[in-house]
Amino acid sequence: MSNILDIGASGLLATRAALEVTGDNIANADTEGYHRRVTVTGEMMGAQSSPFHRGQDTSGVRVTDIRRAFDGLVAARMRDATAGAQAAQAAQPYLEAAEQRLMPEGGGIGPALSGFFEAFSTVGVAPDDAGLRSVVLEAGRGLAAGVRDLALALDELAGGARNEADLQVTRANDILSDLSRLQEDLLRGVAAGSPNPILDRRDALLEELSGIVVVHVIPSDDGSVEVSLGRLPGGPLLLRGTEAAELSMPQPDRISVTPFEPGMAVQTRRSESGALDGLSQAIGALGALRSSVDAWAQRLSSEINSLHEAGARPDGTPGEALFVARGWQAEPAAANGGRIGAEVEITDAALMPAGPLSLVRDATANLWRLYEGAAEIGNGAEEITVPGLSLRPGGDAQDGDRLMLTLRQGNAADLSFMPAEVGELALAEMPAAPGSPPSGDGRIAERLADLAAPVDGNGQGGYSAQYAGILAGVGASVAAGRDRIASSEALLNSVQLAEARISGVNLDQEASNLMRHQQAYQANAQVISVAREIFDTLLRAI
Amino acid sequence: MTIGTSLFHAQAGARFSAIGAEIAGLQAQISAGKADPRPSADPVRALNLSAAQEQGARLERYAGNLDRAAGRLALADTALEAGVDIMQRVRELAVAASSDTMNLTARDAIRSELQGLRSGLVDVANARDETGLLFGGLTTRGVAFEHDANGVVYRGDQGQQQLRSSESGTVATGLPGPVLFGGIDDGAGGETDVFAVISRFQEQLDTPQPGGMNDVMDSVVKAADHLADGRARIGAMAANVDRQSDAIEGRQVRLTETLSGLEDLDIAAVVTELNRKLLTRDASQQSFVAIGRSSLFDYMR
Repeated sequence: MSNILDIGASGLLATRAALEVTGDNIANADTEGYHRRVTVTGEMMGAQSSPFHRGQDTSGVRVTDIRRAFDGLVAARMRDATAGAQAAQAAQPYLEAAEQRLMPEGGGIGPALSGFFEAFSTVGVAPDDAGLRSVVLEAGRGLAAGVRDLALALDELAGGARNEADLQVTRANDILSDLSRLQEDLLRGVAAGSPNPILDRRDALLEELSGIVVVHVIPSDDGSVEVSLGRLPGGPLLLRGTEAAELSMPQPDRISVTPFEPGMAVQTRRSESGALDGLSQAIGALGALRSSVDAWAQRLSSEINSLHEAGARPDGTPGEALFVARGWQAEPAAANGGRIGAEVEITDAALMPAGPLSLVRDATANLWRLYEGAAEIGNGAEEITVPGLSLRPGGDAQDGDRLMLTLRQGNAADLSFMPAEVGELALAEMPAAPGSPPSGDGRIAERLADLAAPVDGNGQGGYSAQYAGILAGVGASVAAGRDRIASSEALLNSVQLAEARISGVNLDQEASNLMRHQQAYQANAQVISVAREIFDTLLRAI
Repeated sequence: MTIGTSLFHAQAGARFSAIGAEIAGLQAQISAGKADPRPSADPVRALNLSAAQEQGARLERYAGNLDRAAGRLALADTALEAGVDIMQRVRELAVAASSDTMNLTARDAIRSELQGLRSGLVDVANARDETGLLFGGLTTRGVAFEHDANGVVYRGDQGQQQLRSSESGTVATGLPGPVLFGGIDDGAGGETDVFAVISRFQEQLDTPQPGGMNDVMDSVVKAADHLADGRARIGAMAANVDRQSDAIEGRQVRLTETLSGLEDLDIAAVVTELNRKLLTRDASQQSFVAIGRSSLFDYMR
């Protein structure tokens, strides 16, 4: 008879647990990574029949499990969709910034370019006018500076993308070590009660990780997961049990995994999806853009130079190259202890050493020493001046730190306009009789001005159109990126909906659960009260 | 279908900010009066726009060149008008000198007037504009014609300044001095210039040759006609420049239309789209409020 009390009590306990779970769901409705909990109840096994007891069917209810509403398949789709959306989003700001930078409003070289050709057109009709000649000098310097600034800005953007990729790699490694700690807690059973909060946290971290690099997750029997790199199984192992590998990015589109097992070789894969892949695409696109700007500047310089070199200066001497792209590439040695950089100025290209040069810090003498091969060719504390070159080192170099300098040609970041005086402009046609002074015509200036538009026949000129072509190419990839973002977000939204259907907390549903459990609680309480009345009736009857 | 409450709010929030950004973009276009100039908005339009702008710069250059040619030709015309007047006076003097009744005083007067007219004509031939000689060919510095022991000699060249006036054509901004002031049939199968004609006249006055005055008369008439012809040629060149200027102006007008088609905003279309977006935003906000406000919790007590 006491059974009826026990049954009522078990019902009270179970419905109270269910009410607690509902309360938990409501409280965590907005918690990121929280998966809805579901109370699973089961019948209590009744007592078996024996010679002294009759068997019983049931003896109340108990909470068998508080289940996390989790679907491994949806979680995998969610990770893939997050990786795709992050890949699309990570590249876009860099491409948009590049497009903006190429536009006239963002400091693009379109106006400087048309100003340059306009200056030649104007001086062509009055080639003797010193004022108009100096307009050409200013326009040429402006164009060269515009091209230089553009090249440096693109380099800076690519550098920003590389920095962001480094940060993302660091974050991914942090996540991996967090995951290994969580798995340790999970396997040791640290969470005295249910492991659900640990699992929520782990799944949230896995989702964040796949936003950086796409990963494949296989659940193990002990409740832990095994994580490998790449969308498909079989990639380099990133996490198993409590051990986590380390990620690095040796070059923009490659991801290396240093395994946790000592002695195993580093494995390198092409990036597939996730923010790192988006960033590597941005770096690649900016690199390609930079090379097309280089090629464009080189073509412009060589065509303009060869025309100008055929011209005659007012004193009858032939013209020299107008545009030269020549500079020193500075590369710090890998073994350096501190950071080191240098401003290199070419004072006279004809006199400067051919290189490669190395700049070495001598801390004892508080000097910088410049070597060409093994021979020291100059030194200085703040500035080193050698024939044709002037160097100003900077940074916090330590003794023996080294900066390698090599001469490079054809880089748009080095483009400079050479003439310093109006007399160095060769705007007239070379006189037929050698040595006789030119007639003061502006035919070379006119032909230079003609290069603004494509010149019939020889395929030269038309630089504005080519520049517009480069810009349109960037614009097309920005537009394609926008479409990619839109479609990847649509996919992400649909997977989010699917996940929310399984794991999300719906307050209306919880409210109805709340009412249901409340009623069940009241009913169970009623069972106990009925049992008590029966007892009372019996007792009074005695 | 069950939707998580937090996802419902998050997705609604994301949609509101997306539509807000679209509305702001349309508003920016309307206030600028220009369509989004970024190539990513419409790569083909951006390429066409850039080509049209480049063509605009080119047409401006041609128009400038034609203005410049017109200016130089007008100056050359004015100078040659003075030259023609001078030759007219020389012709009158030649008629006067041919008269049998001319006395010594009159001959001296004619001789000294001829001296002045000849140097006046040299000044005409050395006329300049702000950029240099008008009749020196491509030579712009110094003088085109100069007195020396052998009379007046040409110091310029035979070149002709050609300025680009269209994608395929050029216009000349003048004629070289020898074409205008020289190239006169000297009656003996050779060529002479206007200065030599006047010198020959002076020589005839100094040392009269029998029948020489007829030859002088003859060559003065030819020289005056030649100079007038030269002026007419300059006038014809100026008329050609005018015609080409008209053509370029016409092209500029059409290009402006093209540019405005590419660049200017279709206000009606954009305002319609803006209204539609505002309506969508209001409707979705109101429905969000209506859905989000009611919850089963309101009915629990």
